[in-house]
Amino acid sequence: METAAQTEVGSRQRGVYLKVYDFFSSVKLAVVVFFLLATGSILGTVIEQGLDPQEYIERYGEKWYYWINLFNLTNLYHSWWFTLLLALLATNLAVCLSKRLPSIWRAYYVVDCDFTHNLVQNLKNCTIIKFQGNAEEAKHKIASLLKGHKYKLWVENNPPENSAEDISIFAAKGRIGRLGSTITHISIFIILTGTVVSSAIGFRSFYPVYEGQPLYVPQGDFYVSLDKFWIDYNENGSIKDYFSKLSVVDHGKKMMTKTIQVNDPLQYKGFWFYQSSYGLAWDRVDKALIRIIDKKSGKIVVEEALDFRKEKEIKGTGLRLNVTNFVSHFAYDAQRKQVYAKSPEHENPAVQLEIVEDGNLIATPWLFYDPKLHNMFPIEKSKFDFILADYRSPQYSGLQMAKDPGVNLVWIGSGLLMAGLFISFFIFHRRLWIKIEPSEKSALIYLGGLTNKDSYGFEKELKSIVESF
Amino acid sequence: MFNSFFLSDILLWVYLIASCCYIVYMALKKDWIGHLAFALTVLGWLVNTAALVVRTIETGRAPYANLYETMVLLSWLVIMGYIAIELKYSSRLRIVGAVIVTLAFLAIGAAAMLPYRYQAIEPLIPALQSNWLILHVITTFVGYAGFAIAFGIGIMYLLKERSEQRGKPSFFDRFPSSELLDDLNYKFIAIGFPFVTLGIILGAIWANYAWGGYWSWDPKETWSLIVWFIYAGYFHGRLVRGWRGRKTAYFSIIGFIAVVFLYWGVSFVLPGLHAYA
Ligand code: HEM
Repeated sequence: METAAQTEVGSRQRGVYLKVYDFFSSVKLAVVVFFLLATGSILGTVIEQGLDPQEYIERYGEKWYYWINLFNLTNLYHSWWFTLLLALLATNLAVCLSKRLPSIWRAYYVVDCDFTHNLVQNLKNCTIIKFQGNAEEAKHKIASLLKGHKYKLWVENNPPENSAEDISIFAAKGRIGRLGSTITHISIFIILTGTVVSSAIGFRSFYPVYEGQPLYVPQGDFYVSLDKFWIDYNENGSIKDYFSKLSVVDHGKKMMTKTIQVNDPLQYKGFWFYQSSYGLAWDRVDKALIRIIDKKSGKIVVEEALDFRKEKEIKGTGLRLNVTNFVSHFAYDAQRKQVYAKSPEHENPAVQLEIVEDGNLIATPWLFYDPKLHNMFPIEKSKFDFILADYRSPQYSGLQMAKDPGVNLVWIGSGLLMAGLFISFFIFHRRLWIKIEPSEKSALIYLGGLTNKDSYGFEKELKSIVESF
Repeated sequence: MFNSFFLSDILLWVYLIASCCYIVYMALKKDWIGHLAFALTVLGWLVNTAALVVRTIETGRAPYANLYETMVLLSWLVIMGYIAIELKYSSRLRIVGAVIVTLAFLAIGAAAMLPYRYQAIEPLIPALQSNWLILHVITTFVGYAGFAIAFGIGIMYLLKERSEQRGKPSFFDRFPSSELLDDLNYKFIAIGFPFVTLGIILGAIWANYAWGGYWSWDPKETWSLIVWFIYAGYFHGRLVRGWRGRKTAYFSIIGFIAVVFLYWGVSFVLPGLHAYA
C-alpha cells in the first residue's frame, strides 16, 4: 500500500514537473512574451522616461502617478516586471533548447541509407525515371549530377532490404541549416548575458576637462590630460566637428596621445574616452575684470584683470583681491546656506571676491555681471565699490568615460545572431532518397526528396535534375 | 533645373503611370499592358537610381541623412526587390507590381510633401559623420524594403483569398495563387528580418562609438525592438505553430504598420536622439 501511495505521489510530482517543463518550453509562451515585451516597450515610449516625480504628477495627476510609480513606469526598461519578462524569455529559451537539441541533432546528423521503395514512393514529389543503361551507369550519372548540385552522397549497393540488386542512394545538402535556429537562440542568450554584465560592472561617467588640468581616473590609476581643444566650422557658421587632443599619463609616463572627435574615441586599458560635448565652464573663470570705484568721488580708480584664485595686490589702494569662486547661473540654497550654479548656462554669472583692505579681510561679496544687479551688496567697511565688469571662462571638453566588459559579449552574441539568422533563413536542408532498380537493359530510378524550407526552390531543382536524364 | 528634386518629381509621375497601367492590366487582362507597366517600372527605377546619384553628387556624401533622402532610397530598394521577383519567377508574378509600385509611388509622394527642412541639404552634424552610419542606414532600409514588399503581398493575399473563396471570376484573377503569395510573404520577411537585425546591431556599434553606450532605450531604438519582436513572433507562429495564410498576412500588415511608425511616427511624434532622420 505504502509503496503504491508513494508512486502515486511520485507520478503526481512528475506530472507537475512535466507541466512546468512543458510550460517553460512552449513556443506559445515565447510568442506571448514577445507580445508582452513589445507592448511594455510601447508604453515606455509613450510615457516619457526619467523625469522628476513632480513632472509626472503635473501631467497625469496624483492618482495616475500612484500606478505609474507602482509599476516603475518612470524607469520602465529597468523595472522589476520588464526584467522579469526578459528573465522569462531567457528561461524559455534555455528550457526549449534543452528539449529540442536531441531532435535537432538527429535531423542534422542522421544519414539514412536504409530505406524502402515505399518510402521513396510516398514522398510528395517522387519521380520515376526510365534510364537507358545499367544500374552502375545510372549510379554514376546520378552521382555526378547531384555533385553538380552540391549534394553530398551516401551510396549503398545491395541494401539488406529485399532484392539484392537494388542500389540505395541518400543525398543531402545544407544540413547546417538545421542548426541556424539553435545558433540564433544561443546568441540571444549571450547577448542577454552581456547586458547583465554591462549593468552589473560596466560604468559610464561624464567629465568636463580643461586644458592644463589633467583628469585623474581613480578606477585605472592614471591621468588623462587635454593638450588642446578646438572647433571646426562649416562655411555657413554651423559646427562641423570638434576635437580634443588627449594624452594618457600612467605613473608619470606618457603612454599615448590621440586626437579624438565625435565617433572616434580613445581607448586605454579597457577605458574608452568619447568626445561628447563642450562648453564654457560653469564653476571657474580664467580672468575676471574687477572695476574699483572710489565711493566719495564716484570715479573709477582702476580696472584690474584678476586670475582665478590668485591673490593680487592693487597698487596705491591698500587692497589685496582674490577671485575665489564663480557660478554661471547664480542660485542660493537657503538650507545649506550655499551658493551654487543652477545650470551650466551663463544665465546669471557671478564671482565671489575676497577683499583685504589694509591687511584685514573685510568682506567676501558676490559680484554680479548683470548691470541691473551691480552693487547689490555695497561694502560698508570699504572705501571702494567693486563691480564685475567682465570675465572670461575657460572652455571645457566634455568627455564621456566608459568601461564595459559586457560590450564584448554583446558583440560576440550579435555576430552569432547574424550567423544564425543567415543560416536558418538562407541555407535549406534538402534530402533526396533514390532507389535504382535494374531491369533488362535499362534501370528504373525512383527519386524523391524533402526540404525543410523553400519548397518552391526545391521543386525547381528537382525538376532540373529530372530533366537532365 | 536638373537637380534631384526635379528627378524625384519625374519619378512620381513615372511610378503613378506605371501603377495605373498595372490596374488597367488587372482589369483588361491584356499582356501588352502588363509589359508596358513593367517597362515603365524599370524606367522608374532608372530615374530613381539617377535621383540617388545626383543627390550624392549634390551633397558630396551618401544619400541617407534625412527623411527625404531615405524615402527615395526606400522606393529604389522596394522596386529593385520587385524587379528581382520578376526575374526569378519570370512574368508569372508581374501583377505583384500593382501593389509594390503603388507603394513606391506613395513613398515618393510622401517624400515630396515633406516640409522643406526634411528635404534640404544640410551639413552633417558631428554625430552623423561615421561610416557605421552608412552601413546602419543601408541595412536598415533593405530590411524595411523587405517588410514593405511583404506588406504588399500580405494585402494581395487577403484580396486573393476572398476571391478564391467566392469562386467567381474576379478582378483579382491575375493574382498568383494564395499559396504562392503566402510563400513569398515569408520569403520577404525572411530577407527583411536579418537585415533589420543587422541594422539594429550596426546602430548599436555606432552608438557605442559615438556616445559610449550601445543601447539607451531612446524611442527609435525601442521601436526597432518592438518591430523586431513582432516579426520574431511571426516566425515562431509560422514555423512552430503552423500559422499560415490569413494569420501571417495580418502579421505582415501589423508589422509594417509598426515599421511605418518606427520610420515616420517616432521622428515626428516622439522625442529622442534620432529626431533628425
Ligand atoms: C528573441 C528571441 C528569439 C529569437 C530571435 C528567435 C529566433 C528564431 C529563428 C530565427 C528561428 C528560425 C525560424 C525559421 O527558420 O523560420 C527560430 C526557430 C525556433 N524558435 Fe526561436 N527565437 C527566439 C526565442 C525563442 C524562444 C524563447 C523559444 C522557446 C520556446 C523559441 C523556440 C523556437 C523553436 C522551437 C524554433 C524552431 C526550431 C527549429 O525547428 O529549428 N525561440 N527562432
